[in-house]
This record gives sequence, structure tokens and C-alpha cells, in this order.
Amino acid sequence: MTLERYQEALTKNSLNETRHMPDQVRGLMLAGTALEDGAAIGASKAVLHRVIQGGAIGDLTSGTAMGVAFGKVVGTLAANVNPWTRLGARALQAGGLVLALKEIGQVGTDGYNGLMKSVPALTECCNHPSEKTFARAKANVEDNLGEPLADATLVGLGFAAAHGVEKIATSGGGKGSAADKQWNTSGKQGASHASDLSGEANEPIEGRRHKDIQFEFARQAHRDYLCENKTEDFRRLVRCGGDELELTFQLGWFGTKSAGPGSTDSPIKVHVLTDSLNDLVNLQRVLIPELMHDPVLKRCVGKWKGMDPKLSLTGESNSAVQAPTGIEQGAKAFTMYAASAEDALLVQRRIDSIMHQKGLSLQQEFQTGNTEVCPSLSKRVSICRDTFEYGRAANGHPGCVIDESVALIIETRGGVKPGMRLTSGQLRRLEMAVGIRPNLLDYSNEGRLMLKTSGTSARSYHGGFYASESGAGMKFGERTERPALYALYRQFGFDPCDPKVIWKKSGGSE
Amino acid sequence: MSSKIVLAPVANIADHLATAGDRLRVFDRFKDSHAAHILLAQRPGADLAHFIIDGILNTDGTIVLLLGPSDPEARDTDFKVFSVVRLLDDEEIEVADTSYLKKIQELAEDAIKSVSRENNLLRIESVLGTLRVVDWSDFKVPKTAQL
Repeated sequence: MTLERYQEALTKNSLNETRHMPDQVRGLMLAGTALEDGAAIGASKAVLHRVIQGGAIGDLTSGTAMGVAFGKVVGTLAANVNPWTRLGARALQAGGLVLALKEIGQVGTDGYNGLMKSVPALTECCNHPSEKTFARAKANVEDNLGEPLADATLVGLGFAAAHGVEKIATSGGGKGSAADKQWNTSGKQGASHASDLSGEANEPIEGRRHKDIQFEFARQAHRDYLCENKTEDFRRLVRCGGDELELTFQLGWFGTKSAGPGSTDSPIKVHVLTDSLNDLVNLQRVLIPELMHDPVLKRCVGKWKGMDPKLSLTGESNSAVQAPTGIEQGAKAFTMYAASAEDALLVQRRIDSIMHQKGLSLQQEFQTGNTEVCPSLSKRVSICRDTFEYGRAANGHPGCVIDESVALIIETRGGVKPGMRLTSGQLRRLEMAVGIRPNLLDYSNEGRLMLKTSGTSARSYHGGFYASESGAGMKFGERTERPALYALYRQFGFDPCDPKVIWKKSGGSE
Repeated sequence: MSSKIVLAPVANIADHLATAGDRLRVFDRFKDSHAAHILLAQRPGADLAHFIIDGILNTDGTIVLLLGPSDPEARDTDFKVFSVVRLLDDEEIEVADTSYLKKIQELAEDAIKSVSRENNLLRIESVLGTLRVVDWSDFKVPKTAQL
């Protein structure tokens, strides 16, 4: 019943808009619309309960309906700063999309069966939320679903986590209690009684928030490393655990050699952020050894660069290397490159997990001034898209082609019929709505919607066009380059880093 | 935001780091509508490095090139690092040493910050001769230095 009601809650317009779309786009569109609606309606608390209590998890065949319902939950959850809730919200967002896609055959039988096998562990976690049940549910879901269905893994995990928070919040007081206020969609925070999770009671939430998200993982001692200067301070020989790694000066950074042709061609890359020397010291001591030894990172990182590794050992650095200022380039302690967007996401998740396990999660994201955000548990591992399909406008001006699925939605919402284009007036209005500098949206020679570069340089890069960030317009109405592209994608509910959206597919095919 | 200009006595040639005193072969020079470009390698058949000539100085008869990366990602920063090389002749350059960089720091900053793109191209062509124009739609930088 709940699901039916939520499908009904979608406006007729939304459903009409999606009716003629390709299946994959339709699923994304519905979930995206639901996300917006959910934020507006703010009724997620009741819905989540009903979905769980009504046994809807056993009815995953209504995949799109579940995707819609989950999507609605996310909008409200995402506004809540409690780390548990955020975890749940993110997972549910991914889950909503995955489940939406399930109905259209994007998630196979194995994934479906795997999720169903995990239901008992998830139910136990929902009914008795604790470190132990949470860890058990996590392991169970991972075993059943495996790495290829990481999003689906998150569904179950987040489902349990979010429900756990809800259960604790409601058990901590009746209607109108402080715990209840934590769920208030106005975003105001009350005291929390999440003692079941952390094992500590009556401590102010501000002091505990950081501990909440670190509760279950065993801390490991930092493996650390030694670093030797070579070649007039322009090479570093890093030694750790019997292995050696040479890092070479690379115009402002120290970096590794590339793993081979194509190994860095992903349109998205991973950043690990810092704000100071003290913070960088901890990051380097943890991450450099992991980059040398962790099997996932060794497999998926095609190349990496970062600030001088000598900094964490001596506090001194080559003066021609970027310093850890916390602003723009100075916030990027590490940059990781991969062969594909999928690999880059694996790297992001793996490093996020490492940061979290090693106690390097942040309470709040750094305000770096960069376009990217950190949709991660540790709040310091970001993914960033810098390359888009190359296009040239009729006058020869180069720029970034908007990915097909995104352009389709934009054009559909503009009432454009297949094979037709947005009018010049519509493009100008779209620029105004998104805050893009006027006259940059255009159509390419091939009839594709594109954002022209505000410069003149033809920035070919990794088989596409490089969307610059430094020096780009950031303010509303003046947005250019990467900030403009990000704003446009977000306006229509898309994540530029979503591999399902990116034109360039895994394996380098275009 | 003002950029920081850093001069480095090294040049990345693919995975090799050329350091002060190293000599490199000039395999090609050309321009597009935006900048002057130079391709360097250690020897024929070796990996090529593609730089943009971001500045050119004439200090007491010595021609100095300030080389910035051609990779758009590496250029997308306010922390700008340039490899400094001396032009020995039409076909060879030498990576400058640290003491020399200190002498030219002020001149180099001025060349990078104050000289317009068009004037920089004019200066370069007045020294290196007219550069051929490359159209990127039918030109690809080779990976290795072929004679």
C-alpha cells in the first residue's frame, strides 16, 4: 500500500515525462524525481517504518516502486547531520537507484538472490541495532552480493543503519522528545540517545558524533614509511615493509610513474583532502603505505601524486612543491588516477574505508573552494570529474558535450521532440536558471548539447575535453567550465561522476 | 587570486627526470592559436616530452625558455611550476641549475605574469623563427622521438 501511495505521489507530469524514455534513463529519472519530492514532502520517517514493517523488503519485484520509495526517503535523511543517518541516506540513495534499475534488468538474478539471502541478518540488525549486529549484517551482505554489486551492498547496510537510528531515536523518548527532534525535517538537531551504538550514554552529541562513525573498526597501527632524498631533492625513495617506491618531482607534486598506457584515462579522479601540515602528516603516514601494499589500490590506481612525502617525516619540503594550505590545489594531499570511472570509484570507496578505519574521518568537510564534494564516510575522499566528451560548436568554439542521458532529460523537460533542439531563447533561460555565464550553452556540429569553454584553448585530454577548475567562474550567473557543468548536472538530478552517465565506458571505448 | 611562480631546475621527460646540466634534443617546435609548443627527448627513439613555452628571456645573450606542462590538468592550478632550460642551439637545450634560477626569478615572474599571450608568441618567434601552425584536428603529438 505504501509503495502504491508513493507511486501515486509522483505527479502525472513526471510519469508522462518518463514514459517515452529509454528504460535506463527512466529508472534514473524516476528516482531523481522521487528524491526531490521526498525532500519536499518530508515524510520519510513514517515511510521508512512502513516499508520495513509492511514487509516490503520481501517484495523486491516491484523494483521501480521501491526505488521511488527509497528515493523519497533520501531527501529528508540527507538533511540530517547525524553520521548514522547520513550513512543510511547515501546508501538508500544508491539503493533506490539500484532497485529502480532492477526492474529493467540492470541488476541480475544473483544480485537479487544475494540481497534476499541477507534479509535475516538485516532484520536482526534492524531489530537489535548494535555494533555486533551491524558488523554481522555488513559481512553477510558483502558475502552474498560481492564487489560488483557494491551499490546493492550499500542498500542493505544503509537500510539497516538508517532503521537502527530511527529505532534508537524513537526508543529514546516519546513524541516531542529530543530524539524525535533529531528527525525533524527542519534540520534542527536535538540531543541523541544513540547509546546502543556506541556503548556510551548521556554524552552530548557534538562530542560523540565523531566517535559514532568509528565505532566498529579495529584500529591498526600506522605502518609508516621511511623516505630518502635523491637527485637534488627532486626524487623520493620511499621504503615501507620491505618494499621501495620511487616518487619523482612532477611540477609541484611528487608522483609515481604511470602503470602503463590507458591506466590513467578515467574521466574521474580521486582526491584525498587536507587542510594543514599536521593533518597531512597523519594522512601520508597512513595512505602511502596503503598505496604501496593494499591489493585493491595496487590493482586500481594507475598513478598517483601528492604533496612531498618528506613533509610528514621532517616537516620540511622541496619549496617547488604545493604546500598543504587547505584551499584549492593546496587541499589536495593526494590525487589518484585510474583506468576507468568504475575503478576510480573503487579507489574512492577503498580509501574512504581506510581513512575511516584509521580514525582519519572528519566531522565536517573542509571548505576548499573546489567544485567537488566528499560524498564519503570520512568526508575527506572526493571524486572529481574533469573530462567530458569533446565537442565543437558551429563557429568552431570547443567545449564539453553534455552526456547523452543528461541532455535527453534537459531537452525533454524543455518540451523538445526527438531530433529537435532547444531554441536559443531556451538555452539562455537555462543558463540563467543554472547560473551559467550567458551564451556558453550551444549545440555542437553533431547536434549535441554542449558547454563551450570560456577560453580558447582546445584542451584535449584523455580522449575528451578537459573542463578546468582553476580560474573558472564560480559565482551564480558567472559559472563557467567545471563549476557550470556540475551545476547543470546537479540541477537535473545527475551526478557528473556517475559511470552510468559518463559517455566514456570502461575499457577506454568511446 | 595571484599565482605563485616557481622555477625548477628539472624537466619531466616521460618517466625520466632530466636535472640541471642535462642536455635534451629539440625534436619539434610549432604553435597553435593559443601557444608555442616544443617537443624534447633525450635521444632519437626515446620518449618525447611535450611542453608549452610559457616564457622566453634573453639574459646577456643567453636564451632561456620557461617551459610549462602541456597537460591541461597540470596547467589547471594557481601554483605554477616551470622547467627552466637554456637554448644551446636550434636542436639542443640544457636544463638550468638552481643558482641560475635565483638570478632570473624576477625576470621570469615578469615574463609569465606581464607578457600577453600574443606578445609571448611574438618574442618566441623573433628568436626561434616563425613557427608552423598546427591544427589539432589533424595533428597528434608523437610518443617517441622519430627523426
